[in-house]
Parts: sequence; C-alpha cells; structure tokens
Amino acid sequence: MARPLLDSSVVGLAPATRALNLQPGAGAALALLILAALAAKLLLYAAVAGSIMQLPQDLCVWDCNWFLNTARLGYDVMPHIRSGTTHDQADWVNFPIFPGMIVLLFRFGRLPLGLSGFIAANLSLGVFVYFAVKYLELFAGVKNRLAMVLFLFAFPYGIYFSMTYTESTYAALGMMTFYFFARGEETRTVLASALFSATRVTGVLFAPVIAAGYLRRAWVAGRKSGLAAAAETIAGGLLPIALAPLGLFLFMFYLYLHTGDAFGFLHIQRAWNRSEHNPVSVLFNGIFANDLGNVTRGQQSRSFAALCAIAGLALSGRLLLLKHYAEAWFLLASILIALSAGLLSFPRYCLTNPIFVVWSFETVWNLLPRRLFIAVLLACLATQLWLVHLMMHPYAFFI
Amino acid sequence: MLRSLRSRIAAGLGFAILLFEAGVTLAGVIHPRVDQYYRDYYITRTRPCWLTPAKAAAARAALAVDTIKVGGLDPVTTCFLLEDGWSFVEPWGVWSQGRHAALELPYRPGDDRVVLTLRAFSTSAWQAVTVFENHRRVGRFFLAKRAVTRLQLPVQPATGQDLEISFVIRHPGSPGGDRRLLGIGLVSIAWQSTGAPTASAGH
Repeated sequence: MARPLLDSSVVGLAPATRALNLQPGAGAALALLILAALAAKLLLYAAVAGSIMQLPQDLCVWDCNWFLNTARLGYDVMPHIRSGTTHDQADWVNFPIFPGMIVLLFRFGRLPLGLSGFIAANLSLGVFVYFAVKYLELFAGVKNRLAMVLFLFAFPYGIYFSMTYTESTYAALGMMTFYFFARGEETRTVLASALFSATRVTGVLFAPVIAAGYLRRAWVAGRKSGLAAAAETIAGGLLPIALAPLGLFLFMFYLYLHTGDAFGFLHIQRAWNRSEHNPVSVLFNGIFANDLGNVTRGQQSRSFAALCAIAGLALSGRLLLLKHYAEAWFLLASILIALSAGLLSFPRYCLTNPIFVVWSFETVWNLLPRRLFIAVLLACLATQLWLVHLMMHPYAFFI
Repeated sequence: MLRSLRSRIAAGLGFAILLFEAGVTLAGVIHPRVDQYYRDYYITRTRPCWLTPAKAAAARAALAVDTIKVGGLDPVTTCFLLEDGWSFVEPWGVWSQGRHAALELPYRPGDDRVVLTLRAFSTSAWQAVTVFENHRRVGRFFLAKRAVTRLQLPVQPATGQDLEISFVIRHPGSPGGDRRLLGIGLVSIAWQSTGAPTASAGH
C-alpha cells in the first residue's frame, strides 16, 4: 500500500479518524436532513421577510451586488466610482470561485442573476453543513446529527450563508479541505485547498499546513535514514505543496494580465480606507471603545467586534490544547489577518469562519450541560432571525 | 532518490508550478503594469487620490497657466498637483503635513524657473526647508515664521517629463488645537522664463 502523501497525524488529527464508523446510506440520510433544515431555515426567513418569492431580492443588500456585477460583467479593468461611493473601487477583492458559481447558474442554468447568487450561496451552505457534520463525526463524543445540523443552521451569523456573499462557499471549501485532511485523503485535500485559496485571501492559509507536514516528515526521515531520505520526502511533497495555494496564484496571474496588478485584491483595499494595522492594538482599541450598546441599535460596534476576536482567539487556544494544530493555526491566522485590516466587517469574518462555527458546536456540545443545548440553540436561532430582520432594513452593523 | 518515473514527473510538475507561483509573485511586486497614479494611490499610498488617464489629462490642462493659485483648484487638479504630504486645501492654499511633501507639475517647454509663494509655520522664528527638483538637491532655505516668501527655483525638467518638486521640512510643528504637523504653506506657483539659473529666497 502506497504511503499517503499527507500525514494528518502531524497536526494531531490521527486519533479522531479511529472514531470513524459511518453506516451505509448515512450520506443520503444526512443530505435529506440538511435539505429539510435548509428549507425550514428559508421558510423562517420568508416569514420574517413576508414573502418567499422576494427572499433573494430582500437578502441582496450591501456586498451582494458586487458579486452579481462580477458574475454579469466580469472583473473590472480599472477602479471607478460607483453609486454611493466616493473612492474609485474595483471588485478584485472578491475572489473568483463564488462569482464563478453564479456564472454557471446564470449562463448555463438560464436562471435570473439574483436567484443564481441566492442558489449558489445556499447550495454551498448545504455542502458546508454536510462536510461539517462528517468532520465532527470523526471525533468521538459528537454523533448526534440532528443536533449538529440544527446548530449549524441556527448559528447567529449563519445569515451570511444564505445571502449572495462568498461566506458559504468559503465555509464549504474550507470544511471540505479540513475533512479530507482529517481523513488523510491527500489528493482531495490538495484539490480542495487549491479551490479554497481561490475563494478568499485567507483560504491560502491551509497551504502552510501541508508544507509544514512535509517538512516535519522530512525532518523525521532525515534523522532516521539520512539526508537523502529527507530530500526524497521534500521532493515527493513538491507537487502537493505547489498545488495547495494554486487557486490564489492563478487569480493573481489573471489580475496581472487583466489589470496589470497581481496584488490588486490587496491594493484595492485603499479605496475602502483600509490599511494595515497592528492587530493587537486594533483589538485593544476595540476592547476599550465602550460602544457595545450600538449592537442593540443595529449599529457597528468595535467592542462587539473585539469580543468576537477574543472568542475566536480563545477557541484557537482550545484547539491548540486539543492538539488540533492545523485548525488552531488557521483560526488564529484568519483572525489576525482580519484584525490587521481593522474592525470593520470583522464579526462577519470571524463568526462565519468554518472552523469557528464547527468548533463552537463542539465546545457547546461537550462543555455545557446537555440540557442547556436547547436553550443555546433557541438563542442562536432568535439572534439569527433578528439579524435577518435588521438585514432587510439595512443597518451599518452588517457590512 | 525518487526512484519511480511517476515520482520524478510529480516532483518536476510541482517544481514547475512553484516556479510559476514565484514568477507571478515577483512580477506583481517588482513590475506591476500600472501607471504612476495607480501606483501612488493604491500601491505606495503616497497620493491622497487616484487619477484616471482622462482626469490626469484634464488636470494637466488646468495647470497649463502661468500662475497657479492653489486655493482655487478643483479636486482633480489638486490631486495631480499635490503628490504627497499635504493637508486639505484651504481658500488661501495648503499646508504641508509631516516632514516630507512633494508637488507634481506638468512639463512646460521653454520655462526654466519656478517661483513658489510660501508661508511657513514653525515653533521657532524660522523653518528650514531643503528643496529637491526631480530628486536633485536645489538648496536649503530658511523661511521666516508666518511671513510670505517667494522662492525662486531654477529647474531643468527633462523633455516631456513632469517636474517633481519635493520638500524636506526640518521642524514641522503643531499649532494649538491642531494635531497636524505643519511646515510650509503653499500659496501659488508661477512659471518664468529667465536667463542665468539661481536659487534665491525673498520676502
């Protein structure tokens, strides 16, 4: 039997795979459960909105039109002033996988553009929940599928998973990457990682995990069998190491040809007045902003964003203690990168991070008394529906 | 090492992809195919605004006058002229902000002298300013605090190239109630065509 290229044990996931014990047909039953939960979620949204037919339009606010425009017209060649903006902006900040999905549905599925975006997002949500459940099942102690599915659908910021935003596609591909990695499926891990890196800039953060795994194996091989063995391990890892971030580099190549600036997705942040800051000072500024009351008024709150960051950092620390090093690294690095751009939109980046969502469930499930789970679930759902209400009457809180 | 053909092909392919990724990164860092205005605004973040080629052409046309009064310029022309290190434009002109400020002037064939009308802010009696023309040091000047000074600079712009005049301000300071670090105030810019090039300051 060929030795797997990826060695998931280097990041502490090997013990989990021993708990894998799925029944035949379990995948289809899970898919049906997810479909039912998705339908229930959208019906609840429709109840808040007052119409099921208008739901795609009602949920198309803020960044939604950016994605639809990219899908309809392709990427901007140069920045330009848009309605309601004062700076020359461009859509290069939106990575291509999600707009690409909309294009597939719009062009080849002959669906209306707005509906295409809505379907692409909710399709991705289903995929995310499917792989999240399978991922959680790899770990002993989490086998209640209904609880998992309900929690994942009810998670407060899950509203972004049903909007024409990149969040659900990012979560789906991230979850696929971590799931395949946990199972030691090398080819699928690398391919999922390559797609993940073309979804959002932080998608590339999985690539160092693969590189670190090979370096560690090379170190072990070198100590055991000499330099030649270490070199062979490194050489054998060149292809997966190169493929894992390929989506990002292909997008950069495209931007270079299309706009002349391979780093346009970073440079264009200037148009939103975003610049790099020390994430620690950003976090402290948020903590001491003392504007938590803004949340109840549906307005942006730097204190709330800082609390989200603290929750994410705490979860990352817990993952480290549990020896889930890849997840800990991914969550930590995602949070620090998002913080370095300021607190605007930070809650969205943090609370829709697939690792944050999935491990929030694990934490609630394993650390809280089981009788509190229903209360947590209802609180999450109520919060999400409140956010849906706010979203349909656009507040600055949601960007 | 890498005994099987398959392993060698995989390693070769991996190496080729890594080279491609390194190439894209280097091209993006070293040689972005963008114009100066895009670079200044989006990449180096030195200019406070971005000019499209059409806006830059309009600004050049607006600046093709003998005397430019800074306080009366529109935002696009201001964006072209005030390349880096300036505060917001006021009716009389604009203050430099920080230790470095730069102007960009369109090329004017025939003129070999620029006269800058400047004000100075300093916590002492004088503000020391070193002036550069296209990165060539022109000289160091001492401007009296609060006085209006006319600074005559000989310039030698290369044919067809814009002229950059930059200033290094020795001791910028903050007036009471204003957190900006002010140094020189630019009131107007005039072009002259004269004989022997000299640098001088006069009140």
